[in-house]
Amino acid sequence: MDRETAEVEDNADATQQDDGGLVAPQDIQAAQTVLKRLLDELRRAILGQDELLELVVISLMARGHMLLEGLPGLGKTELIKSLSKLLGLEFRRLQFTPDLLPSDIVGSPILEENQHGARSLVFHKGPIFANLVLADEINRASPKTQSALLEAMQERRVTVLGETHPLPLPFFVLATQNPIELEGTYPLPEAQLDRFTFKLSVHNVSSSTLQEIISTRQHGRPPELEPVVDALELENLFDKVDAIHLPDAVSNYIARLVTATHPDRDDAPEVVRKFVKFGASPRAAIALAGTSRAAALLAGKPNVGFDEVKKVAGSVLGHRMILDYAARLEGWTPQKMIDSLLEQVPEIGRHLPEDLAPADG
Amino acid sequence: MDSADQWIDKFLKRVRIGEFLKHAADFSAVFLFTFGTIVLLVKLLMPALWPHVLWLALGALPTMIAARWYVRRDWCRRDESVAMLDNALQAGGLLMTLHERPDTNWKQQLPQLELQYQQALPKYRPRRFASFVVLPLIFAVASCFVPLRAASSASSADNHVAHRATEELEELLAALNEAPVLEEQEQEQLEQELQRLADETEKTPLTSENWETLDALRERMQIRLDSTEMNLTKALEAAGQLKQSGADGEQLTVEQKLRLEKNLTSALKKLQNKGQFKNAPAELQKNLLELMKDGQLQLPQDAAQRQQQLENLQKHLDDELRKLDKIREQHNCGQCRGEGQRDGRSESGRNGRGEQGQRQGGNSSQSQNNSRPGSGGINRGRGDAQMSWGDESDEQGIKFKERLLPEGLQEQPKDEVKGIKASAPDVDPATAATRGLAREGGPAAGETTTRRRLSPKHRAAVRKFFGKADP
Repeated sequence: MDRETAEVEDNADATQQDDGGLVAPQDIQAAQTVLKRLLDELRRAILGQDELLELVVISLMARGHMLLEGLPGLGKTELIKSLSKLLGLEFRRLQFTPDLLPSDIVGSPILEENQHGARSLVFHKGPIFANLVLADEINRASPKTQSALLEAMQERRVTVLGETHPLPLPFFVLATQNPIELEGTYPLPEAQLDRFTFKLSVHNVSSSTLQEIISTRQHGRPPELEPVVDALELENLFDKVDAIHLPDAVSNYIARLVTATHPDRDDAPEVVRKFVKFGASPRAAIALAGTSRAAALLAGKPNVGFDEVKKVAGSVLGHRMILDYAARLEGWTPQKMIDSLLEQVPEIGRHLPEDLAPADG
Repeated sequence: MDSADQWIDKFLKRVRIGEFLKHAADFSAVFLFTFGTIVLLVKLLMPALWPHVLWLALGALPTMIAARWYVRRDWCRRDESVAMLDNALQAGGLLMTLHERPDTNWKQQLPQLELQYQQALPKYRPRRFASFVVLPLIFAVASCFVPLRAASSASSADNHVAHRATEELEELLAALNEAPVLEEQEQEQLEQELQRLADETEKTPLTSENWETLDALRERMQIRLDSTEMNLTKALEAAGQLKQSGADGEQLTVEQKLRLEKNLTSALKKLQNKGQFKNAPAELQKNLLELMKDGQLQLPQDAAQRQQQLENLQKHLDDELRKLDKIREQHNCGQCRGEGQRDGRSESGRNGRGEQGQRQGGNSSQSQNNSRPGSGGINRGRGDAQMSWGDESDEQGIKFKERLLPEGLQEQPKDEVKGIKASAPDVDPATAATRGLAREGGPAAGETTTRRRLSPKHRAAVRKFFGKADP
């Protein structure tokens, strides 16, 4: 544990100091340093995906679950494995297959005999009882199995035979899926998708990055990584994120942005009314606010600004908006729709009067 | 209050002024349009209220108060102005945060330069205000400069015209009575009808029936005037010829002499019946009584005495004719006909009187035509005058009830002698052709136009129009 991390711990109680209750500048700086270090280590493991890595860290700080979507071989699984190493948390990997059962994930009660000869059902925890769960190729399991994750992801607990078992905290589900191999797959239902805070698309890397990969990674082996953040530090960082101030104007912007995704609203933009079938849920607004706070902390700010909201809006809202077939025919994608929304929904609800000219510059 | 708060207040003030300008433009436009419309309506419909309408301009003050009240309902809040200023400063939400949660540590991170705040303030550009207000303002100001409409109604104008027309007729009647031209019974009858017409048009608008009555009365008086003038002229001409035959020693045949004496007698009788000789000198009246004994003209046998009596008679008749001319000139009676009669009379051999009469007639006609359009005998005022309708009948036509019209009058034909010839009368073919064509104006059936016989003159005109050398 280095000096900055120690500072974070020492100042943990002092985050709500001062008259306004904002996180102290030095605390913000210390947290930002830790996150930067985590990010740097991730960058060392995954090359050429800086923006993706930032969003992954943001999602992690927002205590959100994450769905990575991309072609095979782009490093989705490697990213999550690297993250687990850097966080020093308990990590489990679940390879989703069509014959995977819910009990294979959450565990099941097994009849056991104790030393006195008495028999009882003893719950054997499944692989989901870990801090970091990698659900690899999640769309290959049946919807029944996918649904086993619903309660775990939302409530952070599992219920088996009427008995509820809390999951260890922090708890993250990091899932991957392949968008092209549709045969023998089960697309995630909307309810399941809604529980993922972020859905990130992993894109291909540039040729220079590819050259760096083949030059530095023999047999594709990643570099050796050491944990940079432990569970306690992570808790402190979570507290910092929670202490990030969300101004009223920004929360109003988030609310208007999410509302604008609903086609049945009168104030929805024309493209939304034309191409969107279902808009984002209130859970999306909550996720947007939480991830914006994490983004602000990563940027070293005590408050959320409009820029942070715009930065995470695409990853939060994209998989929560259901476009209709007309949108597909017209070439509209969720990301394109979000970009259009960000252009059309003003940051501040009130416009500058027409008889006033905007400020210089 | 620190520096940031002051700038927030300034920003808020500007935004609120901008919002006020927006609503003030809307309210002002409505007010100015309303004001202009009211001014216009008052000037056109109720000119008497015009000076008082200007007080409505004070309505601009409550309009502005209403605009301010309206804009205050959705007034820009301070936190909204903070957000806008934060955005303009590109402070990343820190200004908003510190506004909600003041923090001394983070306050130092805010922009410290006054110039940054100054540049972040919005500038006044009241283009929308101007675009909304200019047109209504021009309309309102222009409506104030619209001239007031004359404060008169159609009915009062009609009544005024009727009153004037009735007065003219009464003056004419008085003049004719003084001449005298009318018989006593006829004069009373005309007076009664004029009085009835004046009563009718005093309160009610002038109708077409009143106009008809006016025209009929005027025409009746003109006919009496013409009749009297014709008798005077006839007597004057007969007396003149009798006198001239005596003076020049010209021997008239017995038949001619008898005819002249008969004409003179009948004319003098008619004039006497109308009291034409009441104003004559007593000696002339006495002579006339002697001359008209037994209903026949008995001129003295003495040539000198006869010449003297005829000269006196001629002089009196000439004076009476002058009076009638004066009446005609003063009351504009029968412009064309009077002119024609005077021309005809001038040709009849009155000594020196024809040219004078023609000159007077020409002058009076010219002066009348200069002041009034048209040259017809009976007119209904200026040709460009506004026509008065009113009291139109409804669909069932029940407006037209049976009503006794004024007594009809038949124009007396001119039984004047143009000349006496032993040969057959000359017939002017052109005049005859015109009459013939006029008679063709009866009901027409199909192909009437194509079958109509064209006169040679008409054929020439057609040929000339189409430029054909040969038919």
